[in-house]
Amino acid sequence: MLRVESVSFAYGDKKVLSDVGFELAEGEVSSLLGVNGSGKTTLLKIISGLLKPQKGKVIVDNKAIEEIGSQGLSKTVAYMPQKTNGVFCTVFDAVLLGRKPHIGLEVSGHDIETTSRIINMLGLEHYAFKYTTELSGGELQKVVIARALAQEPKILLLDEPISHLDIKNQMEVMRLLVDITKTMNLTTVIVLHDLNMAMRFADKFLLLKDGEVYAYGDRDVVTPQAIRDVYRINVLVAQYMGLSVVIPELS
Amino acid sequence: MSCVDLNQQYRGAILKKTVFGIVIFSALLVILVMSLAVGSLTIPIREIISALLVNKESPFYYVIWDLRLSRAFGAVIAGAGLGVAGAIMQNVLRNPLASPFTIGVSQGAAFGAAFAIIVLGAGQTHMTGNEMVTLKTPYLVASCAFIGSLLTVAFILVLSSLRNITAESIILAGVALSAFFGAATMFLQYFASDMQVAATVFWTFGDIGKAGWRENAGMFVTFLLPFAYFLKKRWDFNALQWGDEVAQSLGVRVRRLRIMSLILSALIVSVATSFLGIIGFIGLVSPHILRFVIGSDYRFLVPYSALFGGLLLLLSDIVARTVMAPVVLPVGIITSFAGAPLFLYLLLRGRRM
Repeated sequence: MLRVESVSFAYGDKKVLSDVGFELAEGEVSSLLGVNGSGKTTLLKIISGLLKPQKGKVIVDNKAIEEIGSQGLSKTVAYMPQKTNGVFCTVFDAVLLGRKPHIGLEVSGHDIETTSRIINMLGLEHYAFKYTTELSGGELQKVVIARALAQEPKILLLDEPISHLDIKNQMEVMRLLVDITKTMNLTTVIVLHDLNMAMRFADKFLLLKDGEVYAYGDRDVVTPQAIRDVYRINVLVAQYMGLSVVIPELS
Repeated sequence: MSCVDLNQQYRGAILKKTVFGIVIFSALLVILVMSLAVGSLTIPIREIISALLVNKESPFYYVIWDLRLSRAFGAVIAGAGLGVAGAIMQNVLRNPLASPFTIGVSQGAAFGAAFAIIVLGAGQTHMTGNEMVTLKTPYLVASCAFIGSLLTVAFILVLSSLRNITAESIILAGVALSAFFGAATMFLQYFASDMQVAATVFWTFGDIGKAGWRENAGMFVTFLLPFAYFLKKRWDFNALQWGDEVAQSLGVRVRRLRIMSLILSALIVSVATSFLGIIGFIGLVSPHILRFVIGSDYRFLVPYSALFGGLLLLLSDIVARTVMAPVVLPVGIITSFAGAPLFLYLLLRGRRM
């Protein structure tokens, strides 16, 4: 579904990504892990077409994204940036905006119905006509996810979607993302800083170190050694009720 | 709540916004008739209708067609242009304080006018019986003001594109150029005669009375094309409110949209300012008042900012003509007097700025 081939990128002289390559399947949540500045956000922006790599390419459905074009890409890939502030529009209008790539001259009945369906699916119906500036952080994050889903994308890219949320909202949003990935058969890539959230909810793990892929695979790749190499911190990976739990060492 | 309920509620919300537009349009028509009726001479409605039906026998035919209708039309077009330009600039510059004057368009125009009056000698002014300073070659002044304001925009776009054209860099470039043109105008005034300084100051007073039918036609034509572009891009403006990256991921070509919108907004404002002088606050306040009622949905905000801007300027012009009658105040004084406290009130209410 999504293939990244030997992608390299630099901001001026500063090399950010170097020869990054991997392939992601449908119906899976992949978490992008690495220290600040390791190139996670840049990689997400390259996949979404916001940045152009100096070398390599991104293939979606066997087509390079340059061939798909910005309009076509907006129907295939939905991107959610790190931080979102509310806007003086209602939740319904914010989600309807996700239909923009599909809207012709005017909003169609299908656009309105799709918006309503997604609002219901994400449980936003009780505040559908509230302004998004009046929402809590968790509610707003769900609205942004709903807008992304209204694009009817095949690939969902999220940059730290739970960083500003409390633990309850973090759990809710992550559960939601896993559910929609499975039910809508999406390819979802999430940048996460919380290793435990990643271990709990992601199917695949891509560890970036200094702009290069350190490891990619399922839970087995997230070993104490890998975390030590990538994050430069000693950890224990313990098992608790069938879950892998990452515990940083105090020393 | 079922999907059907949500659909109905959405259609209800759209209907409410549409009705609000009809209310603004109706209010504009009522105020338009009012503006034809009031002034140093009050004209009965019957006579207004008779004159508007091209009854040349009507004693008020020439007052209506040559003076008041032209003036009212000028106010509506200029107000519409300033209102919609304000709404667009607040969006593309991502700054609630952005208005046609934030990026220095008015200071550029004022410098152009000062240059024409002081350096090119367009300011051969004289005192009329009412001790009014008038310009003898207003078209030269208007042309130079137009060039001055367009130069400002060109400068800003070039400066900003040297690195990366972000909203912040445009605002900062505008602040710098405003200061520069302000200083340049003062420099010219320092070496000018008293009459030239008076003429320069007189020009800066925004006054609807400066324009006739020909100027109105110029403003109207310059308004139409940008307005059509803004209407076409209404969804792009909605997307841009969520940030450049979100807009881009929704298929918006952000850089092109920002540059085109700025150029077209500046064009509207440049033409209006060069013909009428500086009229503040309409572009700043109109979109903010509307946001309190319809939110920040640019599908409605674009057309309604035009209607409401026209309404506000027309209303201000009526006040300018009647508050100290028979003296006609420049409308720029009224818009600033009314606009400043209104803006402060909106600021204190705060939530939707």
